[in-house]
Amino acid sequence: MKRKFTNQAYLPPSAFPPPPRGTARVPKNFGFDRSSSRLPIAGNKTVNKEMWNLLKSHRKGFFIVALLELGTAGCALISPKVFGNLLGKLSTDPKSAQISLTVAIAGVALLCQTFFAYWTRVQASTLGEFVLSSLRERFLERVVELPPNIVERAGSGELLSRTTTDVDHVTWAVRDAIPIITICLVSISTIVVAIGLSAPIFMTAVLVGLPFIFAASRRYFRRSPQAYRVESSSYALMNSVLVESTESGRTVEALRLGENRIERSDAALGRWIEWERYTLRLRSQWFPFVEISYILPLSVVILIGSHYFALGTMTIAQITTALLYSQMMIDPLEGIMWWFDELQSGRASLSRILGIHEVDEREIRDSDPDGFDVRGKDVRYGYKPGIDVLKGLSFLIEPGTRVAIVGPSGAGKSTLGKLLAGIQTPRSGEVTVGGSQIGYLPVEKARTHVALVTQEHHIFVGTLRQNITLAHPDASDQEVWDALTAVDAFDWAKDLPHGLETIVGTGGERVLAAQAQQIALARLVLADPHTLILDEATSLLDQRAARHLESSLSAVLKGRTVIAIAHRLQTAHDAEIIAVVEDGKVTEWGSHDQLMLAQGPYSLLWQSWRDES
Amino acid sequence: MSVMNRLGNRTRRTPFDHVPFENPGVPDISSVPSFLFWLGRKQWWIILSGTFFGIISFCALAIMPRFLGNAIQSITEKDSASVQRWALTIIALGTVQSFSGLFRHRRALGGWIVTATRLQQIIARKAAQLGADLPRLVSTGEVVAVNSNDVERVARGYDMIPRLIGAIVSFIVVATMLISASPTIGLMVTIGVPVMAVGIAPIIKPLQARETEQRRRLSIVSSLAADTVAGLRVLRGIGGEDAFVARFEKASQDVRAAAVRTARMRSFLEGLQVILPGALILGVITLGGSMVQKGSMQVGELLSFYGYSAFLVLPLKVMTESAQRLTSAVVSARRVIHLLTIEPINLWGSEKTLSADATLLDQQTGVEIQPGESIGVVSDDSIIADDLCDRLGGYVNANRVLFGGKPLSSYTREFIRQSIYAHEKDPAILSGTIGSIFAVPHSGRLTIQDALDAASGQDIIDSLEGEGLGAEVVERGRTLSGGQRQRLALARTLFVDAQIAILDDPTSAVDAHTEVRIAKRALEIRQGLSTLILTTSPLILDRVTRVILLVNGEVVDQGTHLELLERSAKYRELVIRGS
Repeated sequence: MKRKFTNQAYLPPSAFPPPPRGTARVPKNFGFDRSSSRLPIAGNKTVNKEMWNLLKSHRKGFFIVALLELGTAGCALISPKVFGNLLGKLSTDPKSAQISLTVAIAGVALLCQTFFAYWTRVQASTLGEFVLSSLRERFLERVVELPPNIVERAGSGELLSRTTTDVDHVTWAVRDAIPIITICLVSISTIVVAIGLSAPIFMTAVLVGLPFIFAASRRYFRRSPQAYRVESSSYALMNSVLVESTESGRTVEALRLGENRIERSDAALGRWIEWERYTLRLRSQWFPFVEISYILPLSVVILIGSHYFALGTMTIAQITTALLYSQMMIDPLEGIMWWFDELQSGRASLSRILGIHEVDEREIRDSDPDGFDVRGKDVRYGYKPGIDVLKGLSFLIEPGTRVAIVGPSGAGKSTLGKLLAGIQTPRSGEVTVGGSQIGYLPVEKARTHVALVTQEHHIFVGTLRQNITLAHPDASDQEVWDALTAVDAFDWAKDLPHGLETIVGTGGERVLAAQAQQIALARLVLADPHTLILDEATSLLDQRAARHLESSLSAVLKGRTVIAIAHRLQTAHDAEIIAVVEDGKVTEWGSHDQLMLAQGPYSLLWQSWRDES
Repeated sequence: MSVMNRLGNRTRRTPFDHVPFENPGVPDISSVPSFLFWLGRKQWWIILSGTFFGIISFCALAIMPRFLGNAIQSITEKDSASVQRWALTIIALGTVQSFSGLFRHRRALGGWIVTATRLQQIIARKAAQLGADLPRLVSTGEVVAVNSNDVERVARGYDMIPRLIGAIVSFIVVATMLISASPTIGLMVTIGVPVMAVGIAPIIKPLQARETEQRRRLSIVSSLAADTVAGLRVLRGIGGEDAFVARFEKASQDVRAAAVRTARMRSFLEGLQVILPGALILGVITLGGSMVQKGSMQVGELLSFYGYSAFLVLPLKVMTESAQRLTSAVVSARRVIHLLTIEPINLWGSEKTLSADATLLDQQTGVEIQPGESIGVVSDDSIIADDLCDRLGGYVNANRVLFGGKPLSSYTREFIRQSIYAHEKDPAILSGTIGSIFAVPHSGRLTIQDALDAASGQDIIDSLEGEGLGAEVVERGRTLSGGQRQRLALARTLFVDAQIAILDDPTSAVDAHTEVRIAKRALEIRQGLSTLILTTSPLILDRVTRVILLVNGEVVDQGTHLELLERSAKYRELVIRGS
C-alpha cells in the first residue's frame, strides 16, 4: 500500500523519526538526544541514591504501609484455605463438614482484608502525595535558581517539558505504579509462601509460568518505555500542528497554506500511527505469552494433584487451596505487567528532573559595591567557543547618566545589556558597578543595584498587582498606581474589570503586547534600582506612545542611571551619551552634538534621516 | 470491500494500516446519532470482527471455572484419564482466550485509531477552510480540547464496543449455565451481581467529582510551573523568584490535599469492591455446601459456582465502564459537531478575473491604490491603520472595498488571496525550516535569497542551527528577536510577490541602520507592483511615490513626503520628533 502521509517533507525537523522495522529495539535516548543533551540527565547512580534517600527519610511511613500490605495479603490467604478444607471435607465426608463455621471464618477474614486494603491505600496515597509534592517543589526551587545562560542555551522548551511532562510521569509512577506494584509483589510472595507451606510440590506449578513471563517480558520492557514516550510525543506534535494552524489562521489564509497545513497535520498523524503500530507489534508479541503463563499453573496443579491424590499423599483440600491460590496470582501478576511501563518511564523522567540539580552552581564572589558608576574593562563574550560577539569593550558610565546604545542588528547590543545586568559574566575582562563585578554578586544583591527589562515580555498568570510588585511585594496601592501612571498605563489599567486585582496572563484578561511592555516597565519603576537597563523596552508601542512614555518615565527616573538599547533614533537623541556599537566594539561614544561634529557613522545616519525629514 | 477480500488481504499487518486516509470523507453532522452512525459505518468491519473476538475471549474466560470444577471432580473420582483431558482443555481454553483477547485488543485499538484519525483529519480540514476566521470564532484552547479530549472520547466509544458485547454475551452464558444447574444459586448470583453494581454506583459520581477537582488543581500546578519557566528570563532581570516559589508551593500543597481526599474515597470504593463480591461468594458457599451435603450437587460443581460468581464481577465492571464511556462519547460527539458546523464570517463570490484595472479603493477612508504605485499611509491612530490593513486584505468588511470597481466580496477567496497580500502587524512565523517557511505559493520572479537580501535577513539564518535553508525555526519563532521575526516575515511577504501588497508597520522593531537598507531594497524589488505601507517612519516615507495622511480615519492631505513635511504640522508631529 502506498504510504503517502509518511512524507517527511511535511514534518518539522523536531519530529521524531519513524520507528524501527518490525520490533527491532529502539536505541536508548532515541530522538531525545537532539533536544535534551544540553541540560544534564542524572545517571543511574544519582537516581538510585535519590530513591534510597527518599525511602530513608520516610522510613516510618514506608514501614507502616509495608505492614498494612502484609496484613491485606495475609487475610486474603485465609478464604481459599478454609474453602479448600471445606471442599475436601465435602468430597470425603459431607456430613462432618462445618459449613457455617467455614463461612464465619471466611467472613471475618474478608472483613479484615477489606479493612487492611482500605488503610493500605489511604496510607500509601498520603505518603505518595507527600513525597511527590516535596519532589516537585524542590524541583521548581531549583529551576528558578538556574543560571540564565544554561536556560538560554537549552531553550525554555526543554525546561518546560521537564517541568510538565516529566513531573507528570513521576506523578503517575509515584501515585499509582509504585503502590500497586508493591502491593502486587507482597501478594505474590505471600501466596507463594502459603502454597509452599501447604504442599511444597505445588511451588513448581506456580513457578512453571515464570520463565515464559520473564522471557517475553524482558524483550518487551527493553523496548516499551522509549517507544511509548516517542508515541505520546508524536501525538503531542499532531496537536501542536493544529494549535499553530489555529493561532496563525490569518497567516495560513494569507499565504494560501491551507493544503500545506492539511498535509502537515496528516503527516504528523501518520508518524504517530507508525509508532502506534510499533507498540502494538510489541504488545502482540507479549500479551499472549504472558496470559498463557497465567493459565499454565492451573493445569500443572491439577496434574500434580491428581497424581498425589491417587497415591493418597494429598487431600482434595490441599489441591483446591493450591488451585485457588494459583488463580489468585493472576491479578497481581497482571498488575505488575500493567504498571511496570509506568514505573520505567517514571524512573526515566526522574533522571531528567534530577538532572536539573546537576547544573553547575553560579559562582558567587560577594562584595559591597561602593558607588553607582558602571564600568567595562576590555569586555569579551561569545556564545560559541572561538566566536566572540563582544570583542573588547571598555567604558565608564557616570552615575545618573542617560546612555543610549545604538547600532545595527547583531552587533552585540543585547548581549552587552545582559552583561551590564550581571545576568551573564564576561569571558574575559570585567563589568563592575561601584567597583564590584556585578555578574558574581548574589542575585538578590545584584538586583538592588541593576535591573533589566528586555523586549521579551511575559505576563504571569495572576493579578495585575502581582505582576507589577514582583520585586517589591509589599508595595501599597498608591505606589502601584503611581508606577502605572509613570508608564502611561493608568488609563487602560483603571478600566480593567477588577482594577489591580484583575487576573491577567494565560486564561485571564487579555493584555496587548504594548501593554505588557508597560507592565514590565512599571515593575522596574517599583523595583527602583539605581541603574536600569532597557533593551528595546518600548519597541512594541507605536512611535508616538513610545516617545510619550519615555519622557514621562524619565521624569520618574531622574537621578538614576538609564542605559537604553534602542533602534529609534529619537531615543538616542534624547540621551546624554550615545554609544554606537558595531561588530562587537564601541565605535563612537559621546553626546549627540559631539557625534554630529565627529562626522562618523552616527552623524551620517542621523543626517540622512534628518535631511529627509 | 467484501468480507472475503478483507480476509484475503494478507499484506495488512495491523487493523489500521490504511490510515491516515487520503480522503477522510464528509461526515453526516445533522445529529449526534447520525454522526456516530456515519463514523461506525465507515469502520463496520473492524467493529464486527472485534466484537467476534470479544465474545470468544470473554466466553472462554467465563467457562474456565466449569473445567476447573470438572477437573477437581475427576480427581475425587480418581479418573486420571479425564483429569489429563481436563488439564489439556484448560490450557487449550487459556490459549484461545489469550489469542482472541489479543485480536480483540488489536481491533479495538484499530477502532479507536481509525475513528480518532478520521476526526482529526476532518478537523484539520475544517481549520484550513476557516483560515483567518478560525482564531476569531473559536479559542485555540477549545480547538485543542475538541481535537484531543473530545475526539479521544468519541473514539474510545468505538474501542469499547467489542468488550461490551463480549461482556454481555458472557454474562448471559454464565447466567444460563448457573440457573439451569441450580435455580436458587443461579438466581442469587445473577441478581446479586447487578444489585452490587447498582449499590456501588452512588459512590462513583462523587468520586469522579473529586477526581475532576484534583485534576483541575493539578493542571493549575503545571500551568504555574510552565508560566514560571516561560517568564524565567523576566524574573531574572527584575526579581520575585521567592514569591513564585511560594505561590507554587501553595498550589502544590492544594493538590496534595485534594489527592489525599480522592484517595480516601477511592480506597473506600476499592474496599467495597473487595467486600461485596466476597459476601456473595460466601452466600454461594453456604447454599452450595448444604446442597453438596444433601447430595444434590457435586464438589466440582461447587468449585465451578465459586468461580462463576467471581467471574461475573468482570462483565459488570465492563458494563459500568461502557455506560460512562458511551455517555461521554455522546457528549463529546456534540462538541465535535459544534466545531464542524462553524461557518466562515466572510462570504465570497464567484468572480475570478478583473474586469477593470487593478485599482484598490477603500470606500470608508477613500484611500486608493493605483496599479504599480507605492504609497505610504500615516495614521494618527494605529488601530485605524490596522483596520485599514484588514479591510484592504478582505479580512473584514470585504464589501466596503472595491477592487477593479467591484467589491472584494464578489470575487473568490482564492483570487483575492492570490492578488492582494495583507501583511499584518505581527505576522506569525510557522515552525519548520527556513525552506519550509518559504514553501508558499509565490510568483516565481524572486528567489528566497533575493527576498532575504531585500529584508536584510541573512543574519537570521546565520544565527540559527542548521545550514542555509535547512536552518530550523522553533515554535512561533520564539528564539528569534522581535526585529529578526519581523524581517523574516517581511522577506516572506516580498517572496510571495503579490500584485498588491499592504504592509502594516513592517519595520517597527528594526533598528534605523537596517531600516534604511530595507526601505531602499524592498521598494526596489517591488518596482512595478502596487505597495501600500502603513508607517510613521520617515526613512520609508521618503522613498514612496505618494504619502496619504489619515487623521481620525479620514484622508486630510496627500503628496510626497517632502511636500507634506513642508505644509502639514500634523504630519511633522507624527513623523519626526516634535522639538
